[in-house]
Amino acid sequence: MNKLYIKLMSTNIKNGKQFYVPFILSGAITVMLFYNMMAIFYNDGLSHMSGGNDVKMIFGFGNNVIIIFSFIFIFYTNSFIMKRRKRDIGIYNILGMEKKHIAGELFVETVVIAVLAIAGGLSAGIVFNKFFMMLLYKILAFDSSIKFMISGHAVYKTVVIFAIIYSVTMIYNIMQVRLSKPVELLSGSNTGEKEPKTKIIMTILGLICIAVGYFIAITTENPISALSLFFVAVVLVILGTYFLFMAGSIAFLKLLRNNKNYYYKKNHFVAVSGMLYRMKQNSVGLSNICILSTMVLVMVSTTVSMFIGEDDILKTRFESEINISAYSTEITDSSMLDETVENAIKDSKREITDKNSKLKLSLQGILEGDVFSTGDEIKGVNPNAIINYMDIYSVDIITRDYAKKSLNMDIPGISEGEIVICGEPDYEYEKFTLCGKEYIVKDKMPFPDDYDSMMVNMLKGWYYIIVDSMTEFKSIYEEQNRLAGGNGAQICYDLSIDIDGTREQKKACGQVVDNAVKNYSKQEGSGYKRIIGFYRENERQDFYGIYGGLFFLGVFLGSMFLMITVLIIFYKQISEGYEDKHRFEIMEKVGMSKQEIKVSIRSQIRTVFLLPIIAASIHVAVAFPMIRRMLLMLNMTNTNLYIKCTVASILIFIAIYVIVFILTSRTYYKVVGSK
Amino acid sequence: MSILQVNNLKKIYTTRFGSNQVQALVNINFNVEEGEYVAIMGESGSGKTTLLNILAALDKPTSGSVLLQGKDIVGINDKEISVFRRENLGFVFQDFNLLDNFSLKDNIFLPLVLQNLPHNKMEQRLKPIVAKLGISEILNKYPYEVSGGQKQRAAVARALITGPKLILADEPTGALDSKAADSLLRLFGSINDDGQTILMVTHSIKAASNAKRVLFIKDGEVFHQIYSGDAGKDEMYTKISDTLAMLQAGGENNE
Repeated sequence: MNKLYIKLMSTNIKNGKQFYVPFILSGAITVMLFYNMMAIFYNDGLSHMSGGNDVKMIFGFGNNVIIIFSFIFIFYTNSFIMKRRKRDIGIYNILGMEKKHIAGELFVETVVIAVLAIAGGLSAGIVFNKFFMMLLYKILAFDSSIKFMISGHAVYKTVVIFAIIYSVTMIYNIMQVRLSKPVELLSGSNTGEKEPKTKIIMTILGLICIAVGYFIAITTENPISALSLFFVAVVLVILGTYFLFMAGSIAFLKLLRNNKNYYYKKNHFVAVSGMLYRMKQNSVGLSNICILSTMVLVMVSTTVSMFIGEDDILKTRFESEINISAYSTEITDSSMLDETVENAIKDSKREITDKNSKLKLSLQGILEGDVFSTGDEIKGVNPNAIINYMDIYSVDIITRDYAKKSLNMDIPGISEGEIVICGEPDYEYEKFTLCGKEYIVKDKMPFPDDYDSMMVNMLKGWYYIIVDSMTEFKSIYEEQNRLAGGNGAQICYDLSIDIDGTREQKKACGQVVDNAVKNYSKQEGSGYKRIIGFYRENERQDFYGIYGGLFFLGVFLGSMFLMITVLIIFYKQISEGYEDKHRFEIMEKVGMSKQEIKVSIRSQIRTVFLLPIIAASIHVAVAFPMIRRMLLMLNMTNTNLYIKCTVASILIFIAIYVIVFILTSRTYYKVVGSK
Repeated sequence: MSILQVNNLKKIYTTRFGSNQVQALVNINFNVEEGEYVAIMGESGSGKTTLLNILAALDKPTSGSVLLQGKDIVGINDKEISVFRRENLGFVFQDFNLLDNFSLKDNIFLPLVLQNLPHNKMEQRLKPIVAKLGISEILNKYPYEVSGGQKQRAAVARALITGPKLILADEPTGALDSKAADSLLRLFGSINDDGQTILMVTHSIKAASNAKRVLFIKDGEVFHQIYSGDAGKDEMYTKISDTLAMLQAGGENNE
């Protein structure tokens, strides 16, 4: 009996190689990608690199995504093949094979496919591992040699996970055979030709889901709520896409069909009914394509733009090469600190190209009408008060002198009890109450043009309050501190310095300055409670870890999703072909010319396959404002770059999609044209 | 005047490498007069299907001509042929060839839609035909929802609705039970009485006995023909079976 199984199985796979080869091949590629993600995840060398742990975390997340999609994907292609095979199985059954024999044959078949895919994928994975590692190190700017290695952990996990996935598909297949009658199996590949029902509720639900999802995406202003609402919006849009493809398309086509004067026209008649039929057969597959395409587009465009814009991000996050914030509880002479930093720079043989400093008092709290209360003040009055983080405003108090020096704003004299407000959103009132004292707003202005900071995006609002004198500044500080019970905000001295030199030189300098500042803050009588320093070049490596890791993951997953999309298109084309063959013949007999049929079928197929990519592009376009806001949180402020990356991703994706479509169309015409 | 003239029709099939030749039609000659009801009989492999395909302009003969109302359909080019086919010919097939994704009504409308007829005109034409065929009640059903006999009636309606010069029927009763077959044949008779020319290819003696003339094809040639004349159906039936028996005996005596 075993010999028979093997014989049946091998003839089977041989005869259906146009289905089995892509199935095994795509399985192997999935295994290969998964193994590599795992191998990187378990790689020891990476842990020792700066930023390496961020990469690992990102890849750990990526692995879960791959598992989910591998499962969906392998299951989907399997069910496609099963549908084709039902007829054969029905014939075996009628010819006298018992169901347990058929189950045995399916078992042998799945084992062979699984072994081929897993073994093939693993060997390819191991061979290409060094290549992937080199790619990753290059992206992360890690400077280290890579040894060829096989990760036992990764091999083990890959084998286990994919063995489970293939077992589940096998159980599904055997269940299908067990539960069905031979007659049903015989006609298995012809089922589903019934007139589709109009599902009004589902259509409306789909519309609502999409509308709410889009509404969230467009209207969510706050980046933090964007982050949490993003997933809600994504789930809604995914559901809506499925519903609309499944029910909405049919409802729409039926509406067209009910319009007799439209429907009974040569061009519309065949197209509308053909589409109705196609949408019923393909709605799930098409929604899958649509959602996968959207994911590829979003992932690739965001990660690529962050990777390309990494330098900008670094500059947004760290405005200068050297950023030092020194906190104190009273106004302190900063000349000693300045000198320490300058000397350290001189010691590392670098020149200062730009220097800027300001004294500020940064208060966070809420604004009710024109009354601002700091968080500490609110907590001081009522320790149980809850402040919604989405309502927080930041208010930075600075003097007129510093406004001129560091913000480049020339503000004429401000009298006692007056302030100037500068910031976003536009301040509405004529007065401003700060720590119980009412000020007259003498002037309101937006931020200077080149003022571009992440902070604005994370808060409900951000204002500079410019006061005339140090005395006023000091009294505000003391008052807010008193209201906060002595635990108020501290006075902050910001020192920003740009230096010349190469990246390496700047990095070395940053190290020297950091040490000098640390030593200085330990000295008695420095006057500062704490000093924090950020050095742009020294942060760069961590940034590469995060953004490079995301980029790698984006491209990695993007190519995997693309492969899945391509395969779904391929299988769809073939199954469409088999279903259209018969219709094609009848139409010809009834009096449609070959040319007319070809034109009509081509346009239907084109519509069917363009629909998901068009829907995906719309999804991406609508998601744009929300993703932009989330990118702002990641300090990616270069919206132009993001637009460019998105448009480029869409264009490249469409190009690949169209090429794949044209190539697979040939298979389709071969199937349809065969007698 | 003859509506259809078939002259010296030859069809030779050649295998792919040209080594083997099969002569499907040797030399076919016959005419069909307007309003006639002709059945063509013959064994499997006698060339019936080849002949019908050529008459339907789905296949081209190796030589010879087919004139429909004086126009040679062999010479029509590929572009015009489907227009010609849907304007002049109606088809009824053994396996109905209805499209599953259209309701019966839309299946019947299909050739008219291809002719770009306005919708209200279509409805006008539909009414008398479906009334005659007795399918007015089931027009909005789908092919998979109705019986074989009903499907075949819908297919006949589809063939009739364009008002074709000639209806070509290929084993129209082949897939029907005897009751449905009888009723379809009665229908053909009545359509013919209305003046519709019908050419039917069949195996069934019963089907052929309904026709006014029966042509017998053997080895690619018209071998014999019988007119029903004033004879009743039963008499016709006997005549046909006698002829077939003679054909089957080998026919050496006649050659």
